[in-house]
Amino acid sequence: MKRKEIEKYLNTAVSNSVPDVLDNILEKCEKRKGFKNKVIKMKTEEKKKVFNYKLIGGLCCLILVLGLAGILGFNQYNKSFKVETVIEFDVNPSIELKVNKDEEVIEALALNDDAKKVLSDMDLNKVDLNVAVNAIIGSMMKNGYLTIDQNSILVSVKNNDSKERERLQKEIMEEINNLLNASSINGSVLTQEFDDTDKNIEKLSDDYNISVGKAKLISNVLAAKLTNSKGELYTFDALAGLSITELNLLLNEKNTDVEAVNSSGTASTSAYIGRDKAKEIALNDAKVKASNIRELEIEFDADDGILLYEVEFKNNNREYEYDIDAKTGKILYKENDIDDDYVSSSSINNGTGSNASISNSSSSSTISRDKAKSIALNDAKVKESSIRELEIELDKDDGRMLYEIEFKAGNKEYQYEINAVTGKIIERDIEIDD
Amino acid sequence: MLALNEYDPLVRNNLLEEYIDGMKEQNRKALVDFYEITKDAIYGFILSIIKNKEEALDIFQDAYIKLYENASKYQKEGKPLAWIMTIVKNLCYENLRKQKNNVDLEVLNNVGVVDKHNKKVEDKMVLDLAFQMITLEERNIIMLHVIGGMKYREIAKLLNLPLSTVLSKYHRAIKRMKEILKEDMK
Repeated sequence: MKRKEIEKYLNTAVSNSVPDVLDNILEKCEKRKGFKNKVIKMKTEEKKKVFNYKLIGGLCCLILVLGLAGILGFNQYNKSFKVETVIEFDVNPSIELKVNKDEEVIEALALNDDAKKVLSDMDLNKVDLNVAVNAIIGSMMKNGYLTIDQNSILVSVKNNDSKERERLQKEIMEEINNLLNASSINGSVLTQEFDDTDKNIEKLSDDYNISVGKAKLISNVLAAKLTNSKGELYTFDALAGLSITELNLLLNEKNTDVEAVNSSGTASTSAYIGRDKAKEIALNDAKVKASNIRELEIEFDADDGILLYEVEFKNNNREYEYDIDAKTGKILYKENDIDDDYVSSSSINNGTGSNASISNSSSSSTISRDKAKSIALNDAKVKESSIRELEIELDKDDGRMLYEIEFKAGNKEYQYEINAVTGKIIERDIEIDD
Repeated sequence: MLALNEYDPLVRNNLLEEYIDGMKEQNRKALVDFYEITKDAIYGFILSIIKNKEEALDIFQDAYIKLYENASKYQKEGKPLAWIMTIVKNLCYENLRKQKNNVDLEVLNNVGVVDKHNKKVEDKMVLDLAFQMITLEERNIIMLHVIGGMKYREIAKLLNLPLSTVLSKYHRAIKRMKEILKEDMK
């Protein structure tokens, strides 16, 4: 039984039991407060009218001028100013180029502050596309955005002619690879198709303050149904904070081919601590020897825009879980717990490790573990010698300290929650253990 | 329509704020859409606090009336779920206080546990199991996270708990349910 399945069960169970009371609610809301149909606001209407009178004169002139210009210079305009292709470059600086049919740059846009630095005093107007790519990549390297550590660049291309688009994607990819290789950066180039007028992607890009190309890449990644180390599908939220190199790295690590994304080279891992180091950090923290552990699992993962290693292992009767920041090696989350599957000759465990510290810090005001145990055993009317799989945990719940005690005796399974200060039994559950 | 937990959090929040805006304008359609998208999450959360089905049903209806009436008081700051669940939570606790005027806190914390004699045989095996085996807070967290799609951080704020507590409680509760189900399937 996986966590996902339990969650699915819960979902169905709740969804099936929700009562259908919408009509009731609508009726009551109508009675108490009422509904209004969509109101046409007269005020704005009037305002518009006033404006219109003023504008009409000017508008006529404008149309005249445009009309004339259209007749005189339409062909020329069409050829050199019409946007044929939109290309977005993302490293973290995000730059958008609008390109005409002759592959000349009509407009170069800095989509974020980093990009302004990259473009700074460059004038790319009417420059050939490949020259512009050269200049941009060169400046990105010079300004330290494309490095051995951050070696990935995303190129998103929009062109209505799919053959043209594919040709451009391929050519730009080759061009960038050549440039990076020449500077001994083993680059990795990702290319994809994108549409800068796609409303959904635009919204995500606005909401997360990332470029449209990157938003598209993340939704392409999500479409591949990648799961994190807990078996959950990644969310946009978890990935939005990652750099292109980090997203690329995640794709490499998960060994997934995302259909909509072409790639060359591999993402650099030099900025990260690596699996072995992650393992070492976890084992040191747990004060456990590498030779003693079982069932070691190290998975590369991302959450809240941070790349991390999830390290899991077992030692004696405990299981450990660590989330370690892949860049800094900092332990972001740790947990250690009794391993339920562990079989040992001395099956009684008094709980060590993380729980011990809780018990020490509050031992003055709480009853002892033994006392809690004997309260539970007395209540259950079983002898200590006859119990199996005893677990005692001191925990804080609703601001109260309490002992959670579980054990088996005969064919029954007992669970107690005991107020750790007063010794009062808060909850008791006895079930047949089959 | 998707359930609340199937949306990306930001998209979800924007959508909810849109509906709340609509309810503020007393738009019927906004209330209907709002109901459809939130009903599982709100009902699930109520069930995690209230044991009695009829009371849960009353609170469920009252919740929507209250949310509709108070829509204009919602401050747009990208946390619609926190606002919604706070109102629902307060309704639940108001109800509990009405039920047992002189109740001490210890009892209050345990009323959510399903009474075994009252257990109806429906397709809610998991739900019932969850109710029996985990604490009130664990139920709250599970419902808010699984059905409501709320992030641990949001839940921590709503329930006034440290993030690490929410995380460990969630994992422990799921683990406990796992154990129970494992045995149940044998």
